[in-house]
Amino acid sequence: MPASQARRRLLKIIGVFFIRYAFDAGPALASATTGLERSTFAAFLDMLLPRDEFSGSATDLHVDEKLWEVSRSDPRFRRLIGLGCQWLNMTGGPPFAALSGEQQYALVDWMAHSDFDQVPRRFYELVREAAIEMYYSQPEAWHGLSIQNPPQPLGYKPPWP
Amino acid sequence: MAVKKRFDAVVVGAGAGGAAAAWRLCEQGLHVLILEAGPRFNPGADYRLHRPDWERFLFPDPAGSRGDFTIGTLGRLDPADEELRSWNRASGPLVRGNMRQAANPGYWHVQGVGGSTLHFVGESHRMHPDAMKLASQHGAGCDWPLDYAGLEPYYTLCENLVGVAGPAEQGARWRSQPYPLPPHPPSPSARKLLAAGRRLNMKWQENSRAALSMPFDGRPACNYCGNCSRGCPLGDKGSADVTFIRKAEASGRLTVKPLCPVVRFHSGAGGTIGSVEYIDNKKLQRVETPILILAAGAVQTPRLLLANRNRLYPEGFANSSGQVGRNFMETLSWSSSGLVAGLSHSHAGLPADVICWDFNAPDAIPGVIGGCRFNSATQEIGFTGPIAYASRVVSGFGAQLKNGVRTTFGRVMSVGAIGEFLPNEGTYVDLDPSRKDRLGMPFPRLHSQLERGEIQRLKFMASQSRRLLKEAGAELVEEAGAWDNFSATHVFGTCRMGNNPKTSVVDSHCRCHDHSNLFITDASVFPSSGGGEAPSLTISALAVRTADAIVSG
Repeated sequence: MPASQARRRLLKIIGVFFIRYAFDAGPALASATTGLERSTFAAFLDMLLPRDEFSGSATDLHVDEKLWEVSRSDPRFRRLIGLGCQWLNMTGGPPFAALSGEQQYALVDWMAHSDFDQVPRRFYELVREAAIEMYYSQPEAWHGLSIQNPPQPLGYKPPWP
Repeated sequence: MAVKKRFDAVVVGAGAGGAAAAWRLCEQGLHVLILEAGPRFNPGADYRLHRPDWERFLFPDPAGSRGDFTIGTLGRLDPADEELRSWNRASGPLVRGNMRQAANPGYWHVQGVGGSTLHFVGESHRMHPDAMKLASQHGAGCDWPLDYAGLEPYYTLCENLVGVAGPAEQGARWRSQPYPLPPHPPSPSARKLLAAGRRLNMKWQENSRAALSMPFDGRPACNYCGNCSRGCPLGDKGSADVTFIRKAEASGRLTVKPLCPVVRFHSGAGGTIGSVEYIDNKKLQRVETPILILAAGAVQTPRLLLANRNRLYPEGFANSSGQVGRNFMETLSWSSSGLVAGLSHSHAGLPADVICWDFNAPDAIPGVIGGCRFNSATQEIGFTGPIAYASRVVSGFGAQLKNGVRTTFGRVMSVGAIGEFLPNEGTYVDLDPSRKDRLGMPFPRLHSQLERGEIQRLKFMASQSRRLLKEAGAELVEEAGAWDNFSATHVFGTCRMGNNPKTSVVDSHCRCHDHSNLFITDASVFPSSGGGEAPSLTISALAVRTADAIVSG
C-alpha cells in the first residue's frame, strides 16, 4: 500500500521533533514491541476513539495494528510510541491499561493540555492525528455522518438538502 | 549521439500552456513532439476517489510527478500583523514562531501529461482588462504588452474547446460569445454564501468552471463529488490531458514522451536553439528544435534557462536582460471557515462554484493597488470528508471527538480569497548552489517575501471573509493564509513578457528576445498576477495565440 502524503508529513514532523530535542531513536527501541506496550497503546487509542452506539473503537477498527505497521517503517515513530507508553505507565500504580476509565481519561486530558514541546503532548498530538486518519478512512466509522460512500463513482448529485 | 530530425516543433511540458500550443500547431498541420518530465496518469487506475480511504491521499505523486525545488528566503513575521496567523480549532496555531514557513510542499504543482491542470479545481477565468495595465493606469507593477481585446478571441476559442460552464454576465470581462455551457447549480455551502453576500450588498455569481454542467464533446457531466484537486476520474474536468492533448493526439501529428526531462540546450545558427537533450529511459537523447516552446512552469522554465550556460550565454539562455528568474509572484491567498447552523451536506457540490468580483479591479480595494476575488472554498480546501473534520474542526478526544465529528460534518462553510501579488526585490527564483539532481542540474530555489501592499491586501481579504461568515451566522473554526504560510498554487512572472528587451524576456507573442526560435508559453511570462484570477485559461489563450504567431511567421 502506498504511504499517504499525510503519513509522510507526520513522520517528517516527528523527525523534526527528535532532532530539535536531541532524542535518540536508537536501534534498541526499533525492536520488537512488548506486551505491555501493545496493551498500553491499544488502551490509549481506545481512549481517543472509544466505541459508541454508532461505531466501534479504534482497536475494533484495527487502528492499533495499522499504526504499529507505520512504526515499523520509521524508528522515530516507534521511539515516540515507546516514550509515550512509558510515560502513560509511570503513575506509580497499575499499568495504564488497567486503570479505570476515569483515571485513563484524566491522564490523557493532562497530556492534551501539557507543554507542546514535550513528549507527552507531542505523543498525544501526533498519535491522535495518525489515529484519526486510520480510523475515519474506514466506512465502519462513518455511521451517523451524512456520507455513506466515497466520492466516486456515484458522486453527490443534486438535489441537495 | 545522433540528432533526431523529425519534428517541426518541440514543446517542453504538457500543462495548460504546452498542451494548448501543441494542439494549435498540430491543428495547423505541424508535427509536434512534447517532452514531459512527469508521467502520463491513468485516471481510472491512479486516482483514488473510489476507495474508502480516499481522504488520506491528495493527487497521486509517483516518481517524476513533482519538480525539484528548494525554498529560499520567505521573510519574517511582523507581530503587528498577528491577526493574519493561520490556525484551526483542533490544533491551534498552524505556524509557530516568527518566520514565514513553506506549507509542505510550499509550491503545489504536478509534472505529468496535463501538468497542474490535473490537480487544479478548474476555475476558468479571463483577466480583468485593467489588471493588464497596472503601470500605465495605476503606477504600480508592470503592463502587459497586449490588451484584453487582443486575447479575447483566444479566450473564446479555448473556452469552447475545454467546455467552460458559466453565466453570461461577466462585467468588465466583455465577451464576444456566451459560454458553451450553462453554469453549475450552487452547492449547499455556496447557497449560504450567496445569501450572506446579498445581505451585505455584494454581487456574487456562479463561477466560470472548466467542469461540464452537461455532457460535452464525448465527455460526461460532473457528478459533484467535490474533489477535483484529487484528480477527476470522470473526465468532466477540463484538464489539459482530456482536452488539448486528446484533440492533438487525434490529429495524428502529436508525439508525447512522458518521463523525458529536458536537461540541455544546444546553440544553433544565428542565435537560435538548435537542439535539446533529454533523458529517455535513463539514456541521453537529442532532438533538433526548429521551433522550441518552453512550457515547464514559472519555476522549472527559469531553472532550465539559468542552468544551461555556455560560452555564448554565460548567464543562461534568454537572459541578456538579467530578468530570467526575477519578478516571481506567488499566490496571495486567504481562507476563513466556520460552522453554520442549518447547513448540511457542504461536502457535496462543485468546488469554487460561486465567486465575487466586486474587489477584483486594481483600484477596488481602498488604500492599495491590486485587487482580489472571493469564492466559495469549502470543498477546495478539503472539507469533504470526516478526517478533515476530526483533524481541523473538532478538538479533544473520546466521546467529545466522535460526537463532534458527527454533529459538525457537512456544516463547514469556507470563504476563500486570492489577491494581486506585486513582485519585489525579494521575490525571485535562482539556482540553489548546494543542491543538484541526479543528472547534475541545480535545483531551482524559491524566494518570496511579502511587502506592505500584500499585507494590506491580505488584511482586507481576511476582514471581508470574516464579515461574510459572521453574516452567515458562522462560528469560526479555521483560518489560513499567505502571511505565515507560503503555499503557492499559482506562480508567475519569472520570464516576463514585454516590449523592451532590457526589462523583459519574451515579446508580446512570447518569443524570446534573445533567440528567434524559442517561445515560452507558461505563467512565467505573466507581467502581473491579476487580481486573483485563476491563470490556466489565460495561459492556454496566450499559448494558442503564440502558436498562431509561429505559423504565420
